[in-house]
Parts: sequence; C-alpha cells; structure tokens
Amino acid sequence: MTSTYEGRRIDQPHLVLVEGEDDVSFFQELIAFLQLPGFQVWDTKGKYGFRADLSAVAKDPHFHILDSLGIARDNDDDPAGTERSIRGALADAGLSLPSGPLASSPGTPTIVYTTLPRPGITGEIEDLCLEAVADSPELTCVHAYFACLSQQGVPSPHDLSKAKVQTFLASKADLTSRPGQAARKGYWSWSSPAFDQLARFARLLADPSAQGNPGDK
Amino acid sequence: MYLSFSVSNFRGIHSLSISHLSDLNLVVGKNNVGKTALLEALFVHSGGGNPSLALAVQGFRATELGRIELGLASTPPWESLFADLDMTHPIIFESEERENRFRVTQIQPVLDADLSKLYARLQKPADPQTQSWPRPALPPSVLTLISEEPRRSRQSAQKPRRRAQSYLILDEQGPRVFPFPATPPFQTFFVSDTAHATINEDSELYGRLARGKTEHLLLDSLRKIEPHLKDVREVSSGGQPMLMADIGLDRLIPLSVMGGGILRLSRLLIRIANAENGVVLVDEIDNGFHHSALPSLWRVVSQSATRSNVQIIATTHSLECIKAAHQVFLEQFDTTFELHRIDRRNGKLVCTSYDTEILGAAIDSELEVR
Repeated sequence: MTSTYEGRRIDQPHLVLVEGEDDVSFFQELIAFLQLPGFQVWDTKGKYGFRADLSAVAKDPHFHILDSLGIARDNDDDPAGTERSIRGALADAGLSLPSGPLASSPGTPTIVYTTLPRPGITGEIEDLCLEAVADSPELTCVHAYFACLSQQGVPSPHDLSKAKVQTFLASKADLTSRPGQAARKGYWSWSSPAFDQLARFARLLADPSAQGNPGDK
Repeated sequence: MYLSFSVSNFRGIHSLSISHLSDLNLVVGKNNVGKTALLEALFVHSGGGNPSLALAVQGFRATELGRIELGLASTPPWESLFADLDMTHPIIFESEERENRFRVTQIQPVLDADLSKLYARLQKPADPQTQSWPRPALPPSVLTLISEEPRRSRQSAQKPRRRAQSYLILDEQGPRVFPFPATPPFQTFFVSDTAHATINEDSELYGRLARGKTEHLLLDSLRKIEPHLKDVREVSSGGQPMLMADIGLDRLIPLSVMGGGILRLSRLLIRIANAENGVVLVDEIDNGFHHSALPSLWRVVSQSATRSNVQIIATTHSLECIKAAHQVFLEQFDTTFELHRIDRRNGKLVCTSYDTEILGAAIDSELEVR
C-alpha cells in the first residue's frame, strides 16, 4: 500500500526556520526585498517543539541538498535561554555549531542563527517592527493611546510590543494585525536600520563566505 | 535481540549500518535500497552458524529457488547473495545484541583448492593405500559460513576469536550442511511478502501453540481485526495439515479464504508467539490491509510482541502504515519504536533513524520520512 506524498520538501539550497506561520510571511518578504534567490522559509512549533522539529528537518531525505540552514527565534524574556535552546537543539540534531549568533558554522550545510529583536536583547519580532516605524505619526498616536490608558488606570497588556504593533496596524486602510501579514501589504520599510541585522542574517545564509563577527550591528 | 547491525557485500548492499534498533522497527526507503536484503541479512545472521539459511533466503525471493540446477547452472545458486555478483569479497554481518553480545558472521564460497581438504573431512578414503578420496563427478558448489565466538564488548574485537565454520555443499548427493551447525542464539522468523509454501509451517507452528494451550491468545488478537472469527483449527485436508477458520457457518473455511490480510496477520502472530525472546522479520507488513485497519494491526502486533518479548523489524512503503505505528506507539510507554529510512547518497547507503518524538514532529510538519 503506498500513497502519494504531498508534504513539505526541501528543494532550495537555503532554508530558514522561524516561529509560526506569520513569521514565515515576514521573512519571505524580507528575503524578496533583498532579492536573494534559492530560499525556503518554514515554520516550527515555537520554543516547545523546536528541538524535535529541528531534528526532523535534519533527518529529511533532502536535507543534504542544503547549502545553508538559518534559525531565527524570538528572545522573549530570556535571551540567554533562547540561545541555549538553539544551540542545544543543533547539537541534538547532530548539526555543526556556529561560534555565536550571526556567525556561520563550518561544513555543509552551514548553520547561522539569530535571535529577535537582537541577540542578547529581550523582546520579539514586533520590537523590530516598532523600531522601524519609530518616526511615523501613527506610532506617536499609539504611544499616546497607551499612555492615556495607563493614566486612566487600565492595566497594560501582557505583551505591550505586540499590542502596539496591532494598534499601529489598526491605523491602516487595509486592516491586518500580524507583522507577517503587514509585511505582505508592504507596511514595513525594509530599508530601515532596524532590519539591518536580519538582512545580514539572510545574506550570510545566501553567501556563507561573507562571514561576520558575532554581535555586529 | 538486536541493538545494531551492519552488512557488507550482501545483495545490493556494499555497506550499511543500522543502529538504535528498538522493540519494534519499521524500515522504509525507496525501491531497491536494500530493505528486504537487510531483513534477509538479519535472518541469515540470526541463524548463528547455519549456512543453509543463505540458500533459504533465495527461496524467499520465490523466483530464485528454481535456479538451483546442479551441474547445469553455470553459476552457484548463491551468486546473487554477493554484491555485484562478486564472490571474491566475503559477505560480513556484525551485530550488537541486547544480551551484551557482539557477533560476526562471514560468508564466502570455498575455492577449488580447498575442496579436497573439505572432502577429506567429509568422507573416509576410498582407497586406504593411496589415501585418495572420491571426488564428485560433477563440480560441487560449496559455501562456507564462519561465525566468530560471540564477544562481550567491542573492544575485544581486536583479539583473535575462536571461529566455528560450517559448509553448505551442493553436489551429486544433494544439498547438505557439514558439520551440523550450532544452535542459533535466538529464534528468528522471516515473514515474506510473497506468500508461498508456508502452509505446513503455519500448521506446525500453530500446533505448538495449541499444545502449549496458548492458541486462544492468537484468536483474541485476530478477532480485533476480524470480529466474525470464532475459532481457528488445524485440520488435515488431502493429507496436508492446514488452518481452517470458524466464522459461524455450518462448516469451517480455509483461513486463506478470509482474505490476504487476515491470513498474513495469522502467519505473523503465529510466528511472534513461537519466537519467544527472539526476532520476527516482516517484509511489507501492511500488505493486504486497508489503511483503516493499520492502527489495529500495530496494536495486536505490539501486544503479541510484548507478550512474547519478541523484537519486530518490518518494512513498508506506506505513509499510512508509518502514521498508524506512530499513533499506536505514542500510547504505549512499555514498547520502544523506531523508524529507519535507508537512502542511497552518492552511491552509498545511509540509514537515518527516527524515535517516536522526532517522527511525530516530522509527521506534524508534513516532512517526508520515507
């Protein structure tokens, strides 16, 4: 008994693993902006399923065609823990370890990882988005809105950055609430310095010989 | 039971190692990567020092049995056991087993120069004056199987070991083994994809269960797949023993009439029950089963294997079969399960193994695992 398999298949030389479907859209748009060919972006099940997901990818029958594998994850409130988790998962999967974030590992595929908003900094992808639109009039209003709520004694949302991004996006004609969907609609300016480190991450994957030093901005 | 196994120069396998062998193992991979050959290699190696098993596995591939035509065939019947049909390189099997045992088996043809010595051991001299031995009129074909005395650790591999050597001889007197091989380390059965000539063996093995009053366990398992089954009996028909099924009609019907799936499952479960503390090798385990029956198949196979402490190593091409196995073994904490995929990369065979957690991640992510 056999069946036709129509699942995911590695068919490009560069693969980026991110957290969740919306992050897939976000990184696909960034890579398209950078005009880097040969990329696939896949989601993983976030921090709790990441180790098994990475091992499953490393065991894929087409994994050997990869030139590079990238990993991008949110730091949330534990940057050191996130990096430990990535390095532990790489070791469990039998993959080579880069010397640190935004560094290429030796061998093939080369491995590059980064954490968001930046290595060692608490936060998430939304913090980069807010940084990219920091000078916009909409964000001035968003900050004022949350300041007003605070003055009125309304408790802050658990994830203030996410709430601010959603409020910022609520100002757009074509409504959306997630950073990746917003990227699809062109709401983020990829030329903003806020995205420089992510751009370097993608370029390192496209050309591992363009080695950088960990922590470079 | 095996923990790891490696094969050299056998069938299409120049070199292959498989590790992390669990209680239940599913071997997958594209056509012609050596899945069935791996099972055959395990079967021959399991027999300890019995070289006739090398010929038996030719029989599993039904078409090859007819090639044994002594004196007429230009090549010995075991030529296709050797990679690239090159008999100058020995077949080597190595295993690490749960009983803290490491074993090596080597198979090679006996060269003409060594045949005289062998026949000297086989027969007394025909002429005591000249000390000459009657050589067969037709050139014999002789295969030898050398099994090293099992070791207790990998480290002791460097030290010379005592070796037991046994011969499979094909000459005018027909096929025979000399000397009588040692008892195998554990019982092993091979359930082939091609259902051939096992009716007698089925009945004999079922008879063993009946004599031990354990046949009801088999019946309980079969009913989980075929609820209409009331009983299975061994009945002689035309001088041949065969297994008959009671499905509530006024007469018994041959078990085979109930369909390929139930017949195959019966054969499999009978062998598991008879292989206590041993190994059962199953080629294309899902063959004959509708995909909706596969979880039930795995449950009964798992329960039977656990009850008899039997290791299962099976092959499949079916994603449904893999998913069903994963679903069942997620629920069973007392049984370990591993998927092993064989790939051909740059002309070499490599094996990738998945435990239940990583297989689950791959299935959830819709990654290819076969």
